[in-house]
Amino acid sequence: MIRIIFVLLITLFLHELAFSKTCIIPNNLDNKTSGDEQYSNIMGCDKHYIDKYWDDFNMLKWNWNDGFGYYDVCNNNLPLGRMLNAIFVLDKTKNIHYKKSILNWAYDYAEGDIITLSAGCGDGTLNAQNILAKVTFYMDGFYGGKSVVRRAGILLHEARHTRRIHNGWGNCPSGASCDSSWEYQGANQYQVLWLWWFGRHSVHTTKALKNDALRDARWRHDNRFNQNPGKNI
Amino acid sequence: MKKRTKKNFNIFFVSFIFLVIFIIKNYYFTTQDQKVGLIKKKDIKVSTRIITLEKKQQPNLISATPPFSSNSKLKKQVTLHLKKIEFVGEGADKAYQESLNELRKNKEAVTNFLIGEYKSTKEENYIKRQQLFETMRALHSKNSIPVFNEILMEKFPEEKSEDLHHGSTQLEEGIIRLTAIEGLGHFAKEENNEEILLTLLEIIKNKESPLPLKRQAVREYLHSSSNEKKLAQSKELIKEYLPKSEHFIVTKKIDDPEEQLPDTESPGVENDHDQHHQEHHDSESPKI
Repeated sequence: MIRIIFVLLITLFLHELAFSKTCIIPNNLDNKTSGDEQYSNIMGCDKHYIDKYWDDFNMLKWNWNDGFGYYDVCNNNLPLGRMLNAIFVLDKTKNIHYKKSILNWAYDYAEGDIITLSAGCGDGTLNAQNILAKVTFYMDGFYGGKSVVRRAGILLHEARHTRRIHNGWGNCPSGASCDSSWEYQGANQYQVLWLWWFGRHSVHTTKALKNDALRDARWRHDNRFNQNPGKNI
Repeated sequence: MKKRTKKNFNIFFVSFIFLVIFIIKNYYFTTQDQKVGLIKKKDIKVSTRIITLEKKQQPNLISATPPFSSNSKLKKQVTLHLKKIEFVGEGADKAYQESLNELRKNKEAVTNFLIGEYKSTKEENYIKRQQLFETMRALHSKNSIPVFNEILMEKFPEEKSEDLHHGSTQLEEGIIRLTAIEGLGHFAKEENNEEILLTLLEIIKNKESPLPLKRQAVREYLHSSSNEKKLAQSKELIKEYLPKSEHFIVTKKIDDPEEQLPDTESPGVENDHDQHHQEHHDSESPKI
């Protein structure tokens, strides 16, 4: 028992030491261009959504305080506000006319397969990662010039990694991010399918945003699979 | 027995020391982490310097562009329109389309302005570059043809991202070029413009062209065929330029997205969610 406590203490110490970093929020953020401002306005800093998303994704205070937005949850410049905007997209782009569409279950799937949604500084090489169903977004994931819709796609992609790792072993143009095939139903298939549906049948969004999602889906479709799925997106 | 008690005491003592170190360290690093989100004057200076350098190093994206207007009314109109691209909620697309129709009334001048904006936008501001191209594509002004042509004839940029898994600069550049091909496709279809058809063929012929660009160029080329006979001829012509392994892209078919349910129990069951939350969530949600 004593030994276990001892080992736990050391593990905790090393874990905290490894991830404690200082990072800087970029200045001159263009939240209008990224879509953060618009999605945030619709969410209206509503306590219902904040509580729901916080609870559904099992977010923990110590992951999101210390400047990450816990004490300023509706601030679009901070990681938590930007994360909530992306979750809001997954939640609110459902189309009831297509019951078997990924648009209708992407939110439920993501929240079900993510044990904890977390935030960290990162070292600039990763945008996000999934380790044992704990999904962590890093600064590049929050701020790396990605629109809210794209961020939502990454969240779904990461959630899928809980059940499927990339199994393409570098045999496609995207290196380590390749999946063997469409039928493998890996993270790339989920992301492409969601973008495809978003581009064709999402509601309450503009034609321009839909076009962007379709082009993103087309690019990933031809670059992320060892065996080209042969879909005409 | 006495020896064992002493050993236990030692382990307890070491654990206690670690606990104290852990608490002190945690306090120290928590204090350090408070810096996140607070931009200090010093940091801003550093960022500004980096931005300035990047601006100087930025390659000239468009060398031959029509003169751009600095008309402030136009600038205001375009700025407002770019915001509307990201509109969401009921009536989002209506507002966007209305704005686009307004811009169409003066599409040549607006396109010139957009080209100027594009030229002064930083290379890594992919969202804005994409929005400017999407607006040019939607306006269908002939002034945009040289810009689309030029970017498509450039060498496709090298990958700059270190995390291909989530963010690829080639993906961003690719999306901008896909928009440009669609933009040219309009003139290929409506006017059967020879020069544009040649540009599309150049993309298809180029072995270095990424597959999605070739695929889009094929689609636009085929859509320019006015009848079935011409379509068949176009398909034959394109196939001559492509390796056999890529012949599957020679189609103008567009599929509907596939219906698919997750390969797990349907997650849409509310009871499961409630149980799921009660099980492991006790962290207080943030206050507004």
